[in-house]
Amino acid sequence: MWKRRDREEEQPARSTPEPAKENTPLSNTPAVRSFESDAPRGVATIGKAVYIKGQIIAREDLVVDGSVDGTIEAQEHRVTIGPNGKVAATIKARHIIIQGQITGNVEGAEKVEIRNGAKLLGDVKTVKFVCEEEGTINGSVSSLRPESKSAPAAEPKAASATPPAQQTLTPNDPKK
Amino acid sequence: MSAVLDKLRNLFQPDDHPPYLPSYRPPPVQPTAPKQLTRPSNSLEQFFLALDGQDRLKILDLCGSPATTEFLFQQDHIPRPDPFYRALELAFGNGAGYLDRQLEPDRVDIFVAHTLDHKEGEFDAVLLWDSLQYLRPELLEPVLEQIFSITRPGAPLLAVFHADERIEEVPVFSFQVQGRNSLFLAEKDRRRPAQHFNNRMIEKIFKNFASTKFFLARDHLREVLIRR
Repeated sequence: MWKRRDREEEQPARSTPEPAKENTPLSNTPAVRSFESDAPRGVATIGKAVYIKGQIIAREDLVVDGSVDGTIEAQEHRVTIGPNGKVAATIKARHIIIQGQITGNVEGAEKVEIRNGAKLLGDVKTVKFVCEEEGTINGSVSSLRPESKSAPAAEPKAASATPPAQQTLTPNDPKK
Repeated sequence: MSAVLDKLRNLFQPDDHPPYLPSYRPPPVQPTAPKQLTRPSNSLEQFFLALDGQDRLKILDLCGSPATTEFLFQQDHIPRPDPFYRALELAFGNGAGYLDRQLEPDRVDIFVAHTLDHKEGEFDAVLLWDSLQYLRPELLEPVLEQIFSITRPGAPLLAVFHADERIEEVPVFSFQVQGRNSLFLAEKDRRRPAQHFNNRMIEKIFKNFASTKFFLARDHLREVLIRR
């Protein structure tokens, strides 16, 4: 008896459709939604109501309009710190565009751009540097010379001089 | 009586000017637009000549203009823009009382401790621009000691002082380096200088430095190249 009742009670419970789970986005602010929708494909966006603490390694372009405390690495890609972005982190990327505030060192393998209204408290290392009139920097700006120009020319000589066991083969090495 | 006064007043109003008098309208008052100009600068040329043959020199820029930072970077140096003027405003204000507040020892100590806080002998050159003329002797002395400390021996320093003694308020410029001898000046504000700096006074304040060289530039500016 008890088992039957239990089954009867369980059945309607099973048949009732589960309420649909709300898709709660990281950020509920409408501005972020529109910002995300405007973002082209292959661009990750951290909305302005998002706070991240830790290490971010991006394999695609990254837009930070929220707060980040830690490190950001996107060696082959572009990192944009949006106007609402507040970043306390070191940033390493191919191309860095700063519109918000950064406290930390910035290393752009190709280019670093500081736009109007941006504030950077930290050192910059890059190959090409652009700063708009209303951008503010409190830190040194030094050249990150491309090593790729001199490195391949010097490598074969070094490789031939070293014994075979210690040779390091690069992907473009003709010996491979 | 009041009617007479009104008439007298109206007499001098251009619209109610009596027809028997030659018409006179005061010239329209032109709002003084902030001054902006690009001009050659011999002192700047000498400054860069002193840096020739060396690259990757650390250059402190107290004006911190983005244009100067970009130019120095393109010259293969390491510019270090410094928010000196902003720090001065934050510490002492920018109103009429900013010079009085420079008499407060606590404020002076805090300012000196938090600005120009760099390693000893860190910089190979310094662009001081006109920053020193807004400092009272009580503040000027510790700031110059600090600048002396953070520059290496032989480093060139470029400073600008207004040469006009009669002027009460001097224009505060944003100095932007556009070329090795080309300077762009944009007037940002006007401010009462802390004191008038003539040649003798300038030599006196830089007495601990190796040498001073004067250049009389346009716009009543006296440009000085100093050697640490």
